[in-house]
Amino acid sequence: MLSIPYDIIWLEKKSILAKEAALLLHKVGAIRFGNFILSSGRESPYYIDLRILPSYPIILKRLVELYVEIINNEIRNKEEIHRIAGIPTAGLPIATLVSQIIPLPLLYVRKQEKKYGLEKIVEGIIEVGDHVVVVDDVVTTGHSALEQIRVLREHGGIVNHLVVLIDRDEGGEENLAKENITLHYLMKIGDLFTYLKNLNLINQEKYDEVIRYVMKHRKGGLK
Amino acid sequence: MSEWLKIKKTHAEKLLSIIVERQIVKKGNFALHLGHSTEYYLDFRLVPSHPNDFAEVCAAYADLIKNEIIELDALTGVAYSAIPFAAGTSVRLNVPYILMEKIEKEGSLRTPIYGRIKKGDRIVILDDVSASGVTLLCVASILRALGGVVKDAVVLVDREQGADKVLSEQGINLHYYLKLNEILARIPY
Repeated sequence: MLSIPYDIIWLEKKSILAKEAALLLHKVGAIRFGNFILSSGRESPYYIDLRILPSYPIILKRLVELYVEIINNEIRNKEEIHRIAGIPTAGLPIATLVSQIIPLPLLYVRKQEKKYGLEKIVEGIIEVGDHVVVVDDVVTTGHSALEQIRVLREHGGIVNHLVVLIDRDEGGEENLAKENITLHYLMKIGDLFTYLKNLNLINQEKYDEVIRYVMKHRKGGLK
Repeated sequence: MSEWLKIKKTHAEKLLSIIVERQIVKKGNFALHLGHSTEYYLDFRLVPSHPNDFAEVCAAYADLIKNEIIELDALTGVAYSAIPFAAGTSVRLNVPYILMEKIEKEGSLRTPIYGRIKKGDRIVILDDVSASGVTLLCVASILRALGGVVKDAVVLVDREQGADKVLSEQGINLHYYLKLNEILARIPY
């Protein structure tokens, strides 16, 4: 009997889901072109803004299903997980809905410690030894996610995985791997732009411009 | 009693048992913003750590909005505690959720609004607890400055510290399930 390795079936399915997601993101205007300053100070000719997704609940719900597919096919098939953590602001609505579908308890890390109320930095319950999967929108260098992951680890969480929709391919996967975090993503940014170009949603000139940027800033890429 | 009031009472009872079972009320001396302090603090941030209770709370918000607010185009949640509740309620009602960042100290020029607002959109503000009403008013004025129409705010618990009056003076109705005193009457400590 011919048996096809499970991973190949999943990767095939994932690339179909990625094309669907690319269309949805384009439809809601989440992919913007122009001159953007990233939090690292780097100038980028494009910006992926998933903070507008909650304005489109049906599309958000569909994209959340894709996150759940990734978690089920790449993490939960190998190990048990106990909690989902969201990264405010953009990652938190996504993580919330992911946690409701699976379902698993949700927690989140505040950007900075608040000065009133209960003065907690981790909101929600975390117990020593809990396996926590972190959910965010997009990864660039991975530094901001790593800050949050360190906090979760300080609180006793076992954090081995970060799940995002898009990897901007600017060294995040490598930086996370150094801290023993596996990055899971629906697609890399280059794939997103290729899908959009093949559907004639961006022209060749725009495509060349963003791909030049991607090639320049990817790990081991042109300097 | 109308059908809705019966449902509302059922939701309020369920909320009370969640509050008791999950130890949402913390006793101590807590500093609130604007120099206020309180002996009882309500930590609804624990609720999303209990998926079934979280679903019940979102269902309660959704029913409150469906039955007490006639027209709405979008909702928003006060960051951070209300972000999960706003997300859960939005997909239940299929109503857009205008994601909002935490409002930083006054004078910040950066808009904390990330979602789409069209002029004339009727927007409902969602939070877990209301106290003085100042935070809700602040959110309302930002939304109004961007063309939104704000006539309603929904919370789970009103602490009865003036929010009702402050908001109604600005044309905003406060909708809630429980008053703090009703909760304290049920807490054994």
